[in-house]
Amino acid sequence: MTSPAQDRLRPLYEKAGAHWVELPVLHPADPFLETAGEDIRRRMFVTEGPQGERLALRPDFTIPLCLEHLRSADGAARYAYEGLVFRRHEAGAPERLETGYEDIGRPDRAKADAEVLALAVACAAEVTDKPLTVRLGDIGVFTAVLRALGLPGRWRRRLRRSFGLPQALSANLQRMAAPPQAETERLDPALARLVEAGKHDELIGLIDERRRAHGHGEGAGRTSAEIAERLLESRALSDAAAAAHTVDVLNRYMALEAPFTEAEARLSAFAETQGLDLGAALEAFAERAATIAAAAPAAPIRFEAGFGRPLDYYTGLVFEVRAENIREPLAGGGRYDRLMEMLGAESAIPAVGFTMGLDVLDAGPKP
Amino acid sequence: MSAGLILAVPSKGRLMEKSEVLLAAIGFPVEKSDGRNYRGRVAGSDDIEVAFLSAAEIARELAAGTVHLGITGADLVGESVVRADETIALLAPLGFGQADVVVAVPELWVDVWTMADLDDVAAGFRARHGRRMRIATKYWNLTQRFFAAHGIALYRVVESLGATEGAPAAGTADLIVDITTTGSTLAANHLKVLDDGVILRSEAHLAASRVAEWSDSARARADAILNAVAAAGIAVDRERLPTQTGA
Repeated sequence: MTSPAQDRLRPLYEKAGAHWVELPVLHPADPFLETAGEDIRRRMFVTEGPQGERLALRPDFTIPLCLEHLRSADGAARYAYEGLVFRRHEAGAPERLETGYEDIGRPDRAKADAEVLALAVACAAEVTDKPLTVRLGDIGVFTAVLRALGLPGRWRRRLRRSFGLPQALSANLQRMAAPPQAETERLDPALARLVEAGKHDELIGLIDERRRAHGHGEGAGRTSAEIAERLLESRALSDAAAAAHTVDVLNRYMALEAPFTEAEARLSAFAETQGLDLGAALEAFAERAATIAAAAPAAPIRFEAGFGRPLDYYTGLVFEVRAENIREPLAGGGRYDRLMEMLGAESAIPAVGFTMGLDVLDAGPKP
Repeated sequence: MSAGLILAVPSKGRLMEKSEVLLAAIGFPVEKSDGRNYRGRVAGSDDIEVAFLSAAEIARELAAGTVHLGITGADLVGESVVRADETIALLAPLGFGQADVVVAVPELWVDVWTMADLDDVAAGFRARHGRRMRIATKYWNLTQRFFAAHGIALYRVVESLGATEGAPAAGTADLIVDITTTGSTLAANHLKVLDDGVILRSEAHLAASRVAEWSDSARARADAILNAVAAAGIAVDRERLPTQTGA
């Protein structure tokens, strides 16, 4: 079965070096439940196989494709696909036609990023005559800002999880700026004393002692060390009187917006003004900017520092392609170097790709 | 099915005892009529048929419209029925069967007091332990909705049919979502409820099906029962009783 879109897009994919893949509709549900974002998980159709195993109608192509790559491929490969994906929606059909391209295992990230972006724009131009624009963000730079600000791991993770969700992120920033509630006040005296004194090993010892008294094993759950470290970390955060400054810097960062050609200069200026060392993330941004300029995608690109996705497997470039007067983005993509490892690869494997919803065109104009 | 009213009454445990006492007190004493005790009637009211079912079945049958009125817990309505607002009207809290559905973690987690703390723990879990945080519960739907409302997505539900509160000590789950009345079972298992971890305050309710076929006589009998409940000093939310007759 070929659709009109497939007839037009397949030559573009093949020219980019992609293998055309056909994937089953039914897959084991666990990889999706383990790795997909909440938005996908709660929309999934899950059913049972003959042995009682949990199966899902594929809610996207990326995860099955990555699993297929892990099973069969050796080294780098590029893939393209088209087919139905199944998710519950508030309105409209639960099955929608999607097409896309993934470039997995290629070490030259800047080049792969630039090619994916250019291909997404070319594919979008193939299915609509309307003028196109690109929104581009970078999760790598955002995490570099968090690190350069010296935020504890706990807050870095918390902010990272709300990146791309403006409401959740601003709630988190508010929480960070608020006068820290002394969490140690809730502790019983024995614990509080050790936390105040920062006595790491004794703290672990005391929690261990209580664990034995409570009859809780340490086999599978949280370890005493992990509990002790988080307690000590929360004290470190209460000490951070600089929280207000940190929030101010982050708000300034999130508000950064510029035509893509000026983005690198703006980011450098920001880093310099705020005294932040963004190091490798900024270098990667610059290198990619040069390759994107060379690939010359046929649509204006706007950099938005606050544009991102909350999924923890995205690591760098994120983008979406929009067509004038169409409500939903036509295509969305990004770099997800952490996904393959989450799916069982022994180490991180570079991966970047995009997905295009072919039903979006019928969804009508922007309200 | 007769044109009369079908009233579903819990068939076991404290909920059954309390329901029967209440119904007798308001002048609608139920008696079992068949040998297997699935069916019964109200003495003196031939057009009320009584169905003895488990409380969870009562929630489902109300949603399916096969019974008109029933006594069941708000927790069971929230858990076993999708879009319960559309199919079931909770008419009157009955003052018994009180219990809370709560999120409880090991007391040992001295760094965790709120859902926001739990969000942190969930987020770091996979990196540390190679798997998602596990929640033992029989309240799968309530858990999902509550955690989604708190923006927590990184967990797995381990379905629990037996003693949920023992799961963390046994190592089969990291925390639980369970129903508790006094909290003593939780405390005995060294578990604590999170500050903002009360998902639902439950209580036995007299509930009506919004999707059952309501004949005039069923409606009339329901009104009689509601009047008697109100006369016993229980607040009845009549506004929520379906007004249409027939489906």
